[in-house]
Amino acid sequence: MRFALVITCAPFTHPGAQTALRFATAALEAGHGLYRVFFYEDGVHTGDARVRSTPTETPVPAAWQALAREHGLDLVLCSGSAARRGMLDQTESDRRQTLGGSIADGFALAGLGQLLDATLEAERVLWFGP
Amino acid sequence: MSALQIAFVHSRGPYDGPFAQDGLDAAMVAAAFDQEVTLVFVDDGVYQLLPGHAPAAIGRRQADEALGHIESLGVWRILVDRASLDLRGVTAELLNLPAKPMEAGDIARFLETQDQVFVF
Repeated sequence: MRFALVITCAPFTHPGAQTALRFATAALEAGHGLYRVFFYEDGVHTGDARVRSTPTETPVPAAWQALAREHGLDLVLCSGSAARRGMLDQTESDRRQTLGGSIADGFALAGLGQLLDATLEAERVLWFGP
Repeated sequence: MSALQIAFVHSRGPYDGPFAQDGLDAAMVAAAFDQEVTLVFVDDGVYQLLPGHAPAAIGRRQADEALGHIESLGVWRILVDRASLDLRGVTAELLNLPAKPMEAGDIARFLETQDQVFVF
């Protein structure tokens, strides 16, 4: 099965963030494909390079990066949601002359077209959020 | 690839977080990609269809801005939960768009026919 995931909750405020990560890990281990993971609304915080977890928490952003490296995942942050939360990539940050990009390695900014493309290409789209 | 049938279910008030605006934006993108889009309004989501929003008072963008473009973009159907209207004292005639009031059971059966259902 080729899945797409849409994650709308921030990495440390809602159990949906952990559930999505665990689902993705289990699905990949079982041999399924992940066409794209689209981080939307508060979910974009997952790709903020400045997010830090406490030592007792699972570092959700780092876990996604590791999973992406291992399986070549397409991790996309909704550019509109990210901009509203002060998250810019380096190019956009330079253009607006702000303090620097904050998008973590392994994540890319893109628009809602990528959400629709995932809807068309995946066999199942699963949403995780509040 | 043939068009997908995608239902966008709107369940929140127009200024209850980003959901109304995000849901409409996503539906617009789907319609622009020539998918068969249906908008379904339930619970406080029915308030999105009432005219007379004045969001400047709370520093927000007009949540129903996109609704004005819906018909030209080819959204296929607009359904609204009859009980949600009744509970809020809203009649279908008051709504901005020609939304079709339906019973909850019929909406549920309709959603089962869709390829994708997105809830905002």
